[in-house]
Amino acid sequence: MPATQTSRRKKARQSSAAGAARKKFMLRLYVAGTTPRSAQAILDAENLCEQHLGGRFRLEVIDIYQRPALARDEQIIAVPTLVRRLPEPLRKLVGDLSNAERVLVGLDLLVRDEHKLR
Amino acid sequence: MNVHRLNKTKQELWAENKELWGRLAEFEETIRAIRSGEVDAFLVNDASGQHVVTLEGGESAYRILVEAMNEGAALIEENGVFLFCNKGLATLLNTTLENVIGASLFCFFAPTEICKLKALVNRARVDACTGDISLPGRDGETRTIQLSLSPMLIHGSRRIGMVVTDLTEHYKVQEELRSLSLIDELTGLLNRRGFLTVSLQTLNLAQRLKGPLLLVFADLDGMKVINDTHGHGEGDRALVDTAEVLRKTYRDSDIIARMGGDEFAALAMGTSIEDAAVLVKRLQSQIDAHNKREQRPYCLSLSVGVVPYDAKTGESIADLLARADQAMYENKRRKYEEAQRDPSLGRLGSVTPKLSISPVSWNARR
Repeated sequence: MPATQTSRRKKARQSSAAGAARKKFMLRLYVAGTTPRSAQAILDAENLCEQHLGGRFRLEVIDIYQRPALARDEQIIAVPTLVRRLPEPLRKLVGDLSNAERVLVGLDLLVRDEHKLR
Repeated sequence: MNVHRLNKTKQELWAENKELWGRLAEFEETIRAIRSGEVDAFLVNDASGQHVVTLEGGESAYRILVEAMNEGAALIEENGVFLFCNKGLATLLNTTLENVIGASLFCFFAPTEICKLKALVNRARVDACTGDISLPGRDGETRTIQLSLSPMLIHGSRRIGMVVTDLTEHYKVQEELRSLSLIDELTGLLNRRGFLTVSLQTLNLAQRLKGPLLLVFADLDGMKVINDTHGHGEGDRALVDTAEVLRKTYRDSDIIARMGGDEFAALAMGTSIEDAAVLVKRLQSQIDAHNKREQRPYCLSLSVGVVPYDAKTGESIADLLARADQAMYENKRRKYEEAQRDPSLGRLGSVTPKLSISPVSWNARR
């Protein structure tokens, strides 16, 4: 592969990574009142966002008892469900949120470190 | 042109295909989470709207809390049928859980309370409300419970949440405290505070009805002699005896009180000054009967002042008491002077051998 082509690809990847690093995630967590799994999901989601998204997120917690219409519009079947609303495309993850890696991969929330890409 | 259209269709198909695969992946993920037991509630859509269906595991936390409550807790339908009840409430209703769920709330109360209970349940359909209701207890004793009802929307259906608190002990203690402050512990009659509290209402009633009212103020003669000669125990017994004599003389509707020391007062409703002589005569007969029956080392003797209440002037109870007190002292002084002039009458309240007690002397003031 020519050196110039490699350099262009590297630059494109760096630019994409920088964009990923800057982008803000809009997340919505659907729960059902204070059921044990819902309560745990709220704690897990908050911890995960704080530790891995470092301020580049907005997390809304929606109680489906109080806002059933929202859940219906987003085609929520079971809770807890964590939805990545932005950036598009919309992604959903149902169930246990205690495994951070599973959530980050499942919702494509990984923000790649720039130095690893070089 | 055709190539362009074909390309566009291809792109649309790819996009549609991608979306379908995405939805399928989502669905598979949901099924996996349900199978793994990672979810505890579902949003179900049907003709009547969206319902939240919580799995039993999810309800367990609420159930633990509700079962641990000292109060009774229940969920009822708007027609009063129990859907859920905790053990606390079943115990309070003096039955088992199996007998409560599915039964009507109204089955557990006396017919006299049903009307009040139905009004509460009707109100709870739209607004939170609270009310006290009597409940037949296990030991035949009537218990007072407080029902706090509030409307709830559960699984799309309108229900009523109910918390039940047993207030029987609370009211009992409240009553005891009230009694302690209004009742004379030794004689069981009203004390001065009790007399003033109750007589105020009686005076207001007499004023409104323009009915006659008579205040009798009585003082136990020779109380000091009884105490000094026979001890304070005997003095207390003389006071208790006097209270008993007064109880037998007056009607249950009359207000009798120990005003302090050896002073007593009685407020007789519907009795005019013309009846005063009869009233005093009845008192004397009761004292005579008591002295004859009890064979105490002394004889009871009372000095009495009787005054009528004038509804027209709106006299206060304090003024009425002051007039009656004065009438009583005039009577006592006259008795003392008579005893001085005629030693055969003996000293008032003197002791062994029994003094020939003077009749209850009285003084009436208009």
